[in-house]
Amino acid sequence: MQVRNVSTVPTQPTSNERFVRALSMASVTLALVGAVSIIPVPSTADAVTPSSSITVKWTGDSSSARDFQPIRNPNSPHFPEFDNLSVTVSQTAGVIDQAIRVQVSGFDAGTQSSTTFGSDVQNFVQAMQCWGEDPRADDFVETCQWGGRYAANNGLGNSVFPDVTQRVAPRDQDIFNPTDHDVQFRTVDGQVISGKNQLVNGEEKYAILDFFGPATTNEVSSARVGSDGIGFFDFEAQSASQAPQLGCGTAENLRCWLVIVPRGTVFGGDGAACSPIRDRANSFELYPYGRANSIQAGSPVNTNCDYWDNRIAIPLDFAAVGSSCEIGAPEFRVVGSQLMVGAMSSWQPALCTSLKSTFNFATNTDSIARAQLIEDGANAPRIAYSGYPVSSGELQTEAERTLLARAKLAYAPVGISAVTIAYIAEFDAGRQEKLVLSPRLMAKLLTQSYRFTVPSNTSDPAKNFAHLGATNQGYVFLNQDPDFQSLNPTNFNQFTTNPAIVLPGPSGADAIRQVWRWILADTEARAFLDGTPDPWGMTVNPYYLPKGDPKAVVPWWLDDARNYREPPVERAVGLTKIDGSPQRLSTTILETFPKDDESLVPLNLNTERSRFDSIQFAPYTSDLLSAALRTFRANPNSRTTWDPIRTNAAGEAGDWVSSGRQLPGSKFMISISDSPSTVRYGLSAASVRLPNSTVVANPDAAGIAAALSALAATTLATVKQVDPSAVTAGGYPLTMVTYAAVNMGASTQAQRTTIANMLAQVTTNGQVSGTATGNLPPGYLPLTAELLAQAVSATNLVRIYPAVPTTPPTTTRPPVSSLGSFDTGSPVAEAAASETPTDLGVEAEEPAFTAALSSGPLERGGVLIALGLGVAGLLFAPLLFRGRRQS
Amino acid sequence: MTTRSPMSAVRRVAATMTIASVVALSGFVTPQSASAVVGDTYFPVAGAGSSWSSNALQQWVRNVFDNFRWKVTFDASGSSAGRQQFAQGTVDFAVSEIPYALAGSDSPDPRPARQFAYVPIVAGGTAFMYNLVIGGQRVTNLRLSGETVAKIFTGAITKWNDPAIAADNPKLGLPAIQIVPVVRSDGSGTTAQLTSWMRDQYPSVWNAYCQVTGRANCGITSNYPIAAGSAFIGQQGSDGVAGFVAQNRSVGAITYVESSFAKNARFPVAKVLNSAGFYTEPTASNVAVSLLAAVINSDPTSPDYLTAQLNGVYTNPDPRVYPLSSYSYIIVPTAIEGSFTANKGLTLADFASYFLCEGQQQADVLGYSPLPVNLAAAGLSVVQEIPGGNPINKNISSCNNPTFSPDGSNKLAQNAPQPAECDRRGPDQCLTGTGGASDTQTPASSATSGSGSSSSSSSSSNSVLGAGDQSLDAASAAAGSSGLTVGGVPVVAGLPITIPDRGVPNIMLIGMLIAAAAVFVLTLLPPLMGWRRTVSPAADASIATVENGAKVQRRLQRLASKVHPRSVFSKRARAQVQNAGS
Repeated sequence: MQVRNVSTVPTQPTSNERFVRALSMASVTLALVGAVSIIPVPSTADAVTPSSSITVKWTGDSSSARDFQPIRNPNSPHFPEFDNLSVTVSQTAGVIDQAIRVQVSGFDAGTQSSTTFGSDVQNFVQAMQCWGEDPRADDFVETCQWGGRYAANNGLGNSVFPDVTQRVAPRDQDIFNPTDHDVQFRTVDGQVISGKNQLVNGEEKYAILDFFGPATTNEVSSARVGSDGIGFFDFEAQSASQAPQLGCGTAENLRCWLVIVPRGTVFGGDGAACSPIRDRANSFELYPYGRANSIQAGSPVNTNCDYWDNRIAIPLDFAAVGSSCEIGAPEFRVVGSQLMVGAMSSWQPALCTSLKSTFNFATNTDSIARAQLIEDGANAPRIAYSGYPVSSGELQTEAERTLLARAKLAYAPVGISAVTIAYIAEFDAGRQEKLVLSPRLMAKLLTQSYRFTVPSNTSDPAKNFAHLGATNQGYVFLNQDPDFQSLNPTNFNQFTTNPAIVLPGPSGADAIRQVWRWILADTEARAFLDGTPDPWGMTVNPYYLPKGDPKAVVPWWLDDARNYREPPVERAVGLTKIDGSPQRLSTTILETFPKDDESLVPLNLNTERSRFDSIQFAPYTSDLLSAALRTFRANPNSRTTWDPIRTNAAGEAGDWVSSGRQLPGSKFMISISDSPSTVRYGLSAASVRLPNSTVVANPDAAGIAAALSALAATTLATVKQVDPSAVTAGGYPLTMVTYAAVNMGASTQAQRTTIANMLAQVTTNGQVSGTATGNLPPGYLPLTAELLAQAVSATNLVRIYPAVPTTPPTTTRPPVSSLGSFDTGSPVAEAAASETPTDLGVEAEEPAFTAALSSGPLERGGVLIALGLGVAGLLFAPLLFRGRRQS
Repeated sequence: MTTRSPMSAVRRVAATMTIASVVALSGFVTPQSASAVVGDTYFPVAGAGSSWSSNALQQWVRNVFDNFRWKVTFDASGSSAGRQQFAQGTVDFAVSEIPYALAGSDSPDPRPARQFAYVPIVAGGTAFMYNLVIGGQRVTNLRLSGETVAKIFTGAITKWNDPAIAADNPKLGLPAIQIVPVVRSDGSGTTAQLTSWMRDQYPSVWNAYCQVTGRANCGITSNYPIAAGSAFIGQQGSDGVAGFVAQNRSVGAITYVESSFAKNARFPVAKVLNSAGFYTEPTASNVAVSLLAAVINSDPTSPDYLTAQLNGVYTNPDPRVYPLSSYSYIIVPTAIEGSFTANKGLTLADFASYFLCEGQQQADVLGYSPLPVNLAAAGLSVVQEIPGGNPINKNISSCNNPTFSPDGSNKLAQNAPQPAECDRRGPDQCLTGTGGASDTQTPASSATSGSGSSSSSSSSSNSVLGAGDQSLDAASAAAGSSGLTVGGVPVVAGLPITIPDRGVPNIMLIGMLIAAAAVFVLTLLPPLMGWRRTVSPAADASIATVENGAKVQRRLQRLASKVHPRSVFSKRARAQVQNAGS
């Protein structure tokens, strides 16, 4: 491929020198271009959403799935309710363990789900996964995963009529009066399990739970439909890895089914054979078949009801379950940024296949991963994912600075993703997919400035919120804030409950820094954090003002012994730095989300013996991934309900317990997560305003791609990160690039080869968007050409790096405070020297460290002083001559 | 109470003999097949329990799914909840720091009816993570003797400037602020470990407190008692206690938590005095050394087989020992009962052999210590009793455990470094940081501080209020900043202390200036000299210019000397000088 470089040679070389220079430059360029061109071109943003979606109509379907639908009976009492129904599924091919978006539309208008009494809900859909071959066959129902929520603590509360969770009717479950009706479950390898309680060895046993239960099943008991007759939900497809009983994705069984059972308002059984529900309006008689306006009782799979006849079957073609790694093989360790979890999950099995190397990935706080990377102990990691380079600013001991100075680091970009404000919002009128937040609104949420973000319960509402501004106190709900209304003008009134806020912590992360950078880039948000009221009068929670601010005072009702007192005293609060000086949130980029409101609830203890605080009210979740999971499960985990029966830590009766999961139809959780986790758990992601702008950006492929124009140098010029304040229209400001930092100097040759091979794969095949093993999962954007070139050169650096000296480096400590490197000559030489690492012990003739090489002590102030002086001299010197000539 | 069959006992004896032979490397390994039935499909397994071990467990769970497609779920709901759920049969395994029916426990906690065994899962140190600031700098080198720890967590020591703490920390000028012990409010194995240690080592301290809190039984407890009206704070889970201590406002707080939680939050942990007279921190290698003294129940017929008596660890005389070292267990079923099947056993057994061997390689980086090879070997033998498990890959010879060395000893413990001399009990004290703040030094701050730190400028913003008066009124105390509140009133009082700056050695400052000046002169001189040579007649102008040049130079020097010695800028410059010299 380098043959053509002759053409780039100047036809009339003026000198040999110029010719040689041009030639070498051309070859380097071509080599780079060539290297890039042999890489399969990653499919672009649109590949993030594979296009195997399908829409199936309940009746008169003409899609490719039409032959799989049951024949509809126009005389069925259900027919008029469902004849306009259609279901759209986002993806039906290449399915893996993932969330699949399902949208249903065409329910009769005005028949929205009701949660007034929970169990009397009507007009919703149920969904399950089946493995059978023919969805029209009579025994197809036996291959369906349903009945796993027939258990205590199934997380449903009273959101749906209880007996819908079973495979049969309640009367079939009575082991003392057995019926001969059963809806068995058949596993893919032929085991037949009863769908009923059975007497086994003298004990009652529900054997379905041996195979799937509340924690493992993916059955959807009730997905809500909005007032417009449209609803959507995310179905968690399960491959054979998660649900071996279904075996989807094994060679014999690549096709499985998503089965959707609509539930309207008509009762589909005839009395107790389907459900023992009785009619209050008709002297408690059993429901007759076809009863209109009925509570939706009865199992969707029980053949003694007829709900099953209304099903829609959608084929799901699974990707073959990837081969797994060799058991017992030694593993190569990677540490670092949580943002790479999704990608590594896809890459690891592929690396086993192609490189025969097993990798494992331990996430930890980015700054810790960076510190671990430069250690040279045998057990230290040699590769760490991070959004920033290792910098001396983070390291404060001489030992670590020495390590950094000695370290030969290379940085290869490996992933582009984004921090997301992930949420789930499902109300009476169905799920809300559109939410816009501004830096100021996010600041309000993070500073506990709304009533609902401050610890409270029903005991003393007036006092619980007394420290908030008068305007804040007036907002019982988030959607009463005109700020929120103006950001979400079309649907603010749909957000009928308040969100639970789920924040990662107490560990810090670069991703959290990015959120603060976005907020602090905005003038309005900074003003709000400084105590300036927003245009409607809302003010920041005084606990988040700097200490000493005249407004940083709260009324306090507790005395020294934490006894309630009246009247309250005025107490000065506010943030301080470690040294006790006031800390101003508007000027501090944090890497954590503090919870600084010190309110304790209840103020006046009655039966309760202890109080809860901000952390118990809104507990941390350990990382971005678990934030997504907690949001997906709609479990805020706050322990704010007093249970007088529960035994507390001291052995006394009564303790604070979790209020449990939010129920279908009234879920609202907002968390800080990342784009791959958001996709994986089917969460919605808020759109955000750019700083100092009314432009709104979306966390989608286009938004992430556009944000890359705002890449700016970090402490290393070659390791760039998105600057949220520089993102222009269309760009999503919370986008982040993650780098693989490699400690070449501390690695063995074998380790470097493994790392280089790994990097070569994850920056090529690993950047092809898709759900297959080894691909780049949804939520990531493939590397741009520029970043890819950087990755290629970094990979090459790792590959060709010379072997480390045989003497263990720790034995020789470099002398301190010699001025050696300062007298290297002219400022030009100085500048050049600062581009390469100060050379310690390794021979001088190293390959040219260019692009993504850390020089360690690059950003040292001393260099700057010296350089500044030198440059001043350089600029000044010619002037001396000029002055003379003019005179 | 247990329903072990005699056959099982025989197998266990055989298994132990196998371990013994392996550990001594005197024989070959005979895989023990526990069950005729080997599962044929990896079915998902679910577990619950210990948050102490969860940082390691969650990483393993994710990696085994990615690499091997074994679906394991784990809910870190606390050890007590885990044991309870396992007993009820709602989970396939539990993880706990203490066994069922622990001797000396304050609650009966009976063994469940289902058959089970203990397998060690990960070792670590129960660390004391704290938030303490002196003179505007976070303290990272706190040292505590065992008795002081016990008194802190029993309310006998309530102020940071208590003489006992001062005696442990000769180089810290401790502030007179309230100590806020943060304890677990949920049933916790970490609590059980702490109370077990206190009860064993400082029984009078523990019993006195226990009685104050009105406990009828002062045994080892998973539920920390809190005296009414005390400064103690209860929080849920390891994330909860660590999260509370990590808040900026929580100055004065201290909690007990597995050291990985402090590490991840970038917070220091206290060095604890061991019986050799050294203050040590729970590093991976220190924990490994410490656990050599754990007495492991090696009677396979005992229902508590492989559980540990840690009394020997508390008093282990090796100078590297961290006294609160321990390991936690996974509780696995040994019979097909309830909803546990052979297919689930296949997954659980392979998962267990993974974390006993390869998984331990990650332990250090995550803030834990790898299980010693003897425990890993014994654990593998128990894993073979999980019904449905595949006997392949379940012996120690194929186990890539990082503590394994060919002579059967513990490689990690052997290579563990001895403590520094400044960690010895006495007038000296190391200044280097610990835990998640190991890269942060603490300046010596007491009057007795020896050499090392020059007392240059910046006694600056000493945040701690003067006046040792502890009954300050609310308003003035509040104005004094940092310090936790008790009942809302910040209890801040402090001794007037002088905090010497970390200081920039003058030699460095001078060196910097010389370097800068040299560069300046080097660039300026050639043109100036050239200019002089050519323009001698215009002497006036040249003199003026030279004067100007000198002025500029002087101004630059003044500017450089004004750089605050504590600023980041100068720190970097200093680093540069050091690095440049090396």
